[in-house]
Amino acid sequence: MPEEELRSVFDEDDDFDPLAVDDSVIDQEDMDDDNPYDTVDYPTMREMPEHMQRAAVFTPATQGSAEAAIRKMFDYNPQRRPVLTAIVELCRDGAPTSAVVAKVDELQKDNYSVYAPVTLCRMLERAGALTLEEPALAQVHEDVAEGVEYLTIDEAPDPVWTATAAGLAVCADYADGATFKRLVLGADAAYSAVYAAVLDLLATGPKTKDDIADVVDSFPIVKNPRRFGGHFIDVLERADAIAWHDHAWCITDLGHAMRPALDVKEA
Amino acid sequence: MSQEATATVAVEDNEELAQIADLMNMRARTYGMLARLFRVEVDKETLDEMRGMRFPTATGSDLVDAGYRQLYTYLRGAWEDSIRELAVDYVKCFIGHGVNGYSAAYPYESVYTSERRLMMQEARAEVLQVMRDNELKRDRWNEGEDHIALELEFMQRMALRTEEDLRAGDEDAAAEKLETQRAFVNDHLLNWLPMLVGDMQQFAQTDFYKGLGNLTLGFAQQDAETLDELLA
Repeated sequence: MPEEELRSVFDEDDDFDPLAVDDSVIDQEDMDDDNPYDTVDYPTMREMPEHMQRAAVFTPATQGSAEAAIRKMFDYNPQRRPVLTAIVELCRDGAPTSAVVAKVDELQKDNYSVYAPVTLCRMLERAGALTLEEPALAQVHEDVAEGVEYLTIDEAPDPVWTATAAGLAVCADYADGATFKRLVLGADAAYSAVYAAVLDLLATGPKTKDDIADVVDSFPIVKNPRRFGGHFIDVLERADAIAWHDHAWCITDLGHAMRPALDVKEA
Repeated sequence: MSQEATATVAVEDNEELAQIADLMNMRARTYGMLARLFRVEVDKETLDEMRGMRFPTATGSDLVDAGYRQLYTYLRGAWEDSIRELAVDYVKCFIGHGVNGYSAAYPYESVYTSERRLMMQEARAEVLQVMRDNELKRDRWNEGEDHIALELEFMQRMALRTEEDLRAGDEDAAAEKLETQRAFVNDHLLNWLPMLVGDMQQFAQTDFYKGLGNLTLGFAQQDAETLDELLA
C-alpha cells in the first residue's frame, strides 16, 4: 500500500506511546466515562447491525432449492461426503438418533472428524436432506423416598431422522458415480490409463501412497505437465472410488463398479 | 449419672454426630455437583448421570424447588444434541462475545464486587488467602480462585473435611471448619451469587443454566441457614 494511503488510514500522533500506560497501576477509582481506558462503550457482537449478519450457506433459501443446497454442501465437504450420504441412506425409512450415532462412529473410526454425528445431521437438515421428528418429552414420574417427593426421568428420547426426497435423489446421483464421471471420465479423461492402473493396484489390496506413486510415475503422460500420485489419490477420493482405511488406501464398491468405464474410455 | 445413663447419652451423641456427618456428606455432594456444572460444559457422561438423578419437589426453598424443576424440565427432553446445545449455552451464558464487561454472566466474584467489573481484583485475593489458610491451592485449572466453581468446590472440600472430623469424633475441629464455611458462604458466595444468578437468567437460553443458577443460589441460602443452626 502506498505511504499516502497509510497516512489516510492511520491518524499519526507523535505523542502516542502504547507503553506509556502501565495496566498494573490503573486505579479503578480513576475510571470514568471520559477515561480512554474505559471499555464500556466498545461495540459488541450483540450489537452487530442486522445487515452484517449472515445466514447459513447451504440452505434451500440461499441456494435456490434443497437439491442445490445438498449438492453444494457435498461438494464443499468431500472428506465428509461418504459419511453424509451414508446418513441419508440410513434414514431412508427413518432412523433413531442412536442408530445414526452408532453408524457415524463406525464410519469415522478411520477418518476422525470434529463434527459430532448429530452436528452432521443438523447440517443435512439445514440443507433439506433430512427432517427431524421432534422428541417427545419423557413422562413426568413422581416418586417418594424417605418421605421426600422426587421427580425422576425414566426414558431417554431418541428422535427419528428421515431422509427427504431431495436428499435421496442427490445421494442416488453420487451412488451412480456422478462425481466419478465428472472428474475422472470428464475433466481428467486424458489420464484414464493412469486411473485404471491405480484402481487395478488397489483391487489387489490396500496400498500406501508410495505404492500408488510408483505406479503413477511409470506413465510418461504424468511427466509433463507433472502429475504426482497425490493428485490421483485426491481425485479418486473425491469421486468416492477409494477410501482411507487402516492406514492404507482401499478401493470402494463404487471404485470397483466404475473401473470398467475407464476401459471404454481408453478404447 | 448412672453408668447406664452415661452410656445412653454417649450412644445418642454418637448417633447425632453420625447424622451430622451424613448431612456434611450430602452438602459436599451437592456442592460438588454444582461446582462441576459451573466448571466446564456438560459432557455425555455428566448428562447421563444427571438424567439418573432424583429431583426433589418440596425442599422448603422456592428457589431450590424452581431450580430443580427447571433442570428436570430440560433433562426430560434431553437427547444426543443436548450436549451441543448446552455447550453453546455455556458459552453464551458465562463467556459471551463482547468486551464491555456486560455481555455475559461472568462467573467471577471480582467482576461483581469491583467498581469497573474487572477480574482478579480484591475478591480474588481474599478467596486466595482463605484457600491458603486452609491449605488448599488451585491445581492445573487456569481460572482465578474467585471463579464460582472454585468457591463451590472450596465448600465441598471443607464439608468433606468436617465429615471426617465428625466421624473421628473430633467435634472441636468440626466446629472450627463449620465456622470457616459459614464465614465463606456469607462473605463470598452470598455476597455476589444473587447478581450472578440474575445475569444467568438474562443470558442463558436453556432452562438448564437458568435452573442451575436458581438451584445454586437457593442451596447456598439454605446452607447458610443450616450452618447457623449447627453453630448456634
